[in-house]
Amino acid sequence: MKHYLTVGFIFLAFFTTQSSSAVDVKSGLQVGDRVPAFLVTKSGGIDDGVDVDETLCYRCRLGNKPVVMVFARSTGDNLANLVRQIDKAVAQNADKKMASFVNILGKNADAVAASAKQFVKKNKFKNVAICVPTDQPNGPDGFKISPDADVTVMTYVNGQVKDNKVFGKGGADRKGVQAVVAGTKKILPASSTN
Amino acid sequence: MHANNNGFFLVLPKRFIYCVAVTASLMGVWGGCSGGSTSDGDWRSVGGRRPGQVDLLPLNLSELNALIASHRGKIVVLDVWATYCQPCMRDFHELVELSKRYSPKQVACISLSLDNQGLRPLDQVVPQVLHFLNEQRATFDNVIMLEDSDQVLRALRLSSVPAVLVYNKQGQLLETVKPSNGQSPYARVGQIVSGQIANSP
Repeated sequence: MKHYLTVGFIFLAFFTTQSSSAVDVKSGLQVGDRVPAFLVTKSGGIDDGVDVDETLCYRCRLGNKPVVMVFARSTGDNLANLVRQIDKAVAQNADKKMASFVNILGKNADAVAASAKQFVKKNKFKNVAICVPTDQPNGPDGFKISPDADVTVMTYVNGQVKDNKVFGKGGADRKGVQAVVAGTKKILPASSTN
Repeated sequence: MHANNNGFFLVLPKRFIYCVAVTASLMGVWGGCSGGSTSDGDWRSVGGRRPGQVDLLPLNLSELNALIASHRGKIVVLDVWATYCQPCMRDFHELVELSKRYSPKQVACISLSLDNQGLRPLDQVVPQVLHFLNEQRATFDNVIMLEDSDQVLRALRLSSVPAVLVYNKQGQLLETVKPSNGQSPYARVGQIVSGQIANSP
């Protein structure tokens, strides 16, 4: 009986880890790091006064606000679901000036731009900007986005990283998304909830 | 649109006192924003800033327009920046250098801080802005916006900081210059200013 319980526990632990697609890969800025400025081209999403195809520094625009910043290598359903939940969280915390931008990465610049626009068209996000960073395929050098990370999520406030989550192939599934949304509490004032 | 000096003084007493307080507390001296005379109609004389002193004016958008308009007859260089923007702080010294290169009768330099993001009360934001301006010895017009950064960016039709707006002597916007490939915008700003001066009668 004891043996079965142990095996069951191992399986449970395995599935819990795998279901969130979280991987043991270091990617992106770490907790405590300052977020440097970098350029992106907006593909669409939030109507914030920035035109589609405009190149800007969203990091500079958002400044000290609480921000969920995502780097993603694929624009499938898992990313759409993740961004949809972030979109909701941003809307719920509009009074706290929460913001988000998603950066699509890839080896072929034209293909990445097309994929980002298709992603915008399909999903119609209202509170999140979808962008393509100027630096490809791994984003700005200082960010150290791992080639093995499909999705890297960094939440920051006052320009300092408070949470970092990394997901492998396929991106974040339901549990991973929940973990990201829960992580946004770290950048909001203590009294707020999602 | 010219601000009426007396009217401005009447509608902004808190801001005026605030300007005095933040300047005096950070510089440890008295003398700025002392409500000096406005005999020459110079908008800035409302603050009565002494030459060489750094101060910071909290203004709204219409007051900013009035400030720009008050410099009619000069080329105006408006640097839109913030302490949370690394490229802005990196290149800010070039605005200071530009202000020294030309006579204030030819070129009016203005710094416009977008540090007010609506996250904290203004009095918690101002000290770090003034600290930086003092470090830079920015003795020209320094403004911090009362509206939050999103509203100001929309009003100025900017996507982000940093940006440098150059106005001609008639107060018309000539060009909005942004950093290109990570390079400072001031090479281009210098070209515009020198070109305008060369073409002046």
